[in-house]
Amino acid sequence: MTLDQLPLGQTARISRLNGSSSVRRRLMEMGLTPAATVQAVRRAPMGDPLDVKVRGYHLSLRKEEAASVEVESAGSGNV
Amino acid sequence: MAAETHVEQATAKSELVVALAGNPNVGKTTLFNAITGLKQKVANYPGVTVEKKMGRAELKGPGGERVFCQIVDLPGTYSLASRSPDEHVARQVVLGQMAGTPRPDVIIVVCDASNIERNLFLVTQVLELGRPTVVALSMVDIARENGRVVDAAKLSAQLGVPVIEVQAHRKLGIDELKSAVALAAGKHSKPLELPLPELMETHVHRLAAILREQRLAPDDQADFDAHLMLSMGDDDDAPDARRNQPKIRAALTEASAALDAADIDPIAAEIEAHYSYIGGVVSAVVSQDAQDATGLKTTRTDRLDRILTHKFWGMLIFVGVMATVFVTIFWLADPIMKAINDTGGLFDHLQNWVSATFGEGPLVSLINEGIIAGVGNVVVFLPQIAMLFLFLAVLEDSGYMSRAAFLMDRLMSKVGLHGKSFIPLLSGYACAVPAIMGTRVIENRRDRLATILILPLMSCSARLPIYSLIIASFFGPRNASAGEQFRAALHKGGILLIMYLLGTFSAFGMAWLFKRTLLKGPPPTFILEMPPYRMPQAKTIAATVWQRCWAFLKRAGTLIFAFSVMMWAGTHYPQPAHYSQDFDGKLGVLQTERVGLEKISAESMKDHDKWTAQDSLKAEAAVKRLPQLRGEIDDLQNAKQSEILEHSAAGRVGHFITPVFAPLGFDWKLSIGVTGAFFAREVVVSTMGIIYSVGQADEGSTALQTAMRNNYSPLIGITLLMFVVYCMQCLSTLAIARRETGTWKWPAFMFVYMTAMAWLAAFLVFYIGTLLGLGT
Repeated sequence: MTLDQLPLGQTARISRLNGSSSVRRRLMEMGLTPAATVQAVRRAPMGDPLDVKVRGYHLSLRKEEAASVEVESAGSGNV
Repeated sequence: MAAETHVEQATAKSELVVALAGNPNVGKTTLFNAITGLKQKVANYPGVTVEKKMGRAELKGPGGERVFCQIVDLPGTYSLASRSPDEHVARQVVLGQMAGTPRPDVIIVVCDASNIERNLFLVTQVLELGRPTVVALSMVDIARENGRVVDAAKLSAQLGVPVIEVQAHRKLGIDELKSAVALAAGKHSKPLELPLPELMETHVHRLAAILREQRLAPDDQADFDAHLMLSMGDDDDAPDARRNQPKIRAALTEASAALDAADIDPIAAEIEAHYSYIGGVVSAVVSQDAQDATGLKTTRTDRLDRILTHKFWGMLIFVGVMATVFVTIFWLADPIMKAINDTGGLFDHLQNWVSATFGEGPLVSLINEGIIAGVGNVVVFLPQIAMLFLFLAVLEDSGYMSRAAFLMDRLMSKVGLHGKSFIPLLSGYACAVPAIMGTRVIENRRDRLATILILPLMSCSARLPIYSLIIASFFGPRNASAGEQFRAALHKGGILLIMYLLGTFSAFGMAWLFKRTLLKGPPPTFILEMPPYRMPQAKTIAATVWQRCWAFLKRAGTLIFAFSVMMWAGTHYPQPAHYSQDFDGKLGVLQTERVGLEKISAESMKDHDKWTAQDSLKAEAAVKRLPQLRGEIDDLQNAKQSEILEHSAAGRVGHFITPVFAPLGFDWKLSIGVTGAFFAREVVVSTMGIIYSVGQADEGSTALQTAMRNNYSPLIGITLLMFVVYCMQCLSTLAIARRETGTWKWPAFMFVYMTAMAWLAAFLVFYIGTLLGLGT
């Protein structure tokens, strides 16, 4: 599963990142590293972008970028 | 011996250089203001459009001596990896490689305690450089509110550098921070070394050796550079030019093949090394309360966001906020603008005073019509610009700007723009100048350029008087009944709305086009922190607004001042040798009469007791005659002005370029009006007033409306509207675009494409209109 498919409110563990090196680098710098937990919080009113919680703060990213983050579901709950 | 060299260095340099680094939204600007006490200077770094903020501070040295220091406020960045221009600048300054900025003796890194993991990423990057470093721990109170206590002493022990708690808006910890900086200067700290996969280490060392050998990096920095080179791709916005050096290229290719074979992703390895180190630090220094440990704590920001980014309520509030901002700007700025520049306003009084004191003459004309009017044209927009800056600063500082980008991103992405482009574009309806300066929030260079290029297409407030004049002239009711007036008002409003929509849709169309051609690049990314909501700090906001306004006055003001004087000369000289009538003689007679009558009317105000019946009659006649006489003088002066204008350089240029505007149906008079407006579009109305000799004209002047209606067909009116919608007629905008893009290339392009668009649109309207027989 990728981060854009993670149901809202659910928490998952990041397994790997794909995509171009600059996007991958930025996502990881912002804390979306493998093994980090991430929660899908909400979608913007028009469906895109997403708001996720990672390392205790909120990060907004487009579905396109979220699709390059592979996650393994770890159940519901906050991060 | 070591102490001696240290002293020598200090005296040679005479003052410390301190760099202030940190993530965006961590209170860095507030801290900078608290340290420097607003003794600041803002400039641009050479070659890039990144703002360079510098300030001064006085520290107490370890022995109690005074130490002066220069503080460089770096752009807020999440990383030193040199991916965006901001990061590139931050890195160059920290490493002492930025031209014009000395290598910092101490680096202060601001670390937000309420978001400590991600903030420590930048801290660890700085620590890898091995420069004297002090960590300023901010937002400790908010972290505590969220149930997290960060132990500064333990953090200091973990990181091996001083960690000082600061609450800049309460001035807490500032003195301690200053002492720590003075103490850290000159001390050497060991670079932080994070464990990487062995294979990666091998290649980093190999690469660093080549960098040293080829003198592509200073000795003490080669390892750091090698790390970055290995963990960054070629697809960055500003790729490292050294990658193309043959030996480096070979080493990189070999390294990536070897790492691939071992299934090691250098980017992930590098960043994971940081975060796993950070994980260890955090668990040693942060104590969380029970609620937070189970992860159930909902912060104030979480609760606010449930409403402010809600599908329905969030959008509604957003529209409400934007509407409030605009109504307030127009409502508050309008009276101030009138008080500055209208008849009876500040500059009018100044001009009257100059005339009254020095009489009439070329010098007074230069002062009044060149200098004062020119400065007035700049200053008149300042209230509006300042207010827009104020709102932008409040939106940014409170954290709402990110939410606006979040809400609007989907819409903007349809034309290839970024959610952050929305608010600058909206600001363009008021004035393109602050809007263009507001595009600094857009990280990506191409997105930012595209936004700047299309911004002047948004119909700004300076276009409104021209729209009003034209619409009132050609589509206004004349002696109509109330019902007809209402219908006419709808009709007029409809035309006005169409003008605004035309500008807006064309702007989006051009954005789409530019992003596909000129500014083509990899699809833009939208990776945006949604910072916690915070109460904006009045001092920080005031400083920002002041710096922005000052930048506008400095950049646009000087240029416009020069052009005002040139325009004045161009519209007044050369003067005709002969006029169609003896203006000066006639004016002289009328002026003498006026002076006499004014004296009588002034005397009639006092000495009533000694009056004869004859005196009363004379006074009455004088009071009656005076307004009429003043009107005659105005008319005569305008007629003279009109002849001067036609004979002047500008008039000749107008005549000369009439063929250019002929396909649009413009005569020489309109050509002059339109040409004059290239300097500032709001002068078109007053120029037309001079040409038609209708006195001090504004858009409400019925005389000017009648003159327009009698001379041109409604089709010309619409053609003129089309021209004004698209044309780049604002020097301030061009000057600010030059400042913000760092080159004249983009403002020149902006000018050419918009003017061409204006001509083409006007031509099409006129041509098709004529074909349809609407020309008469």
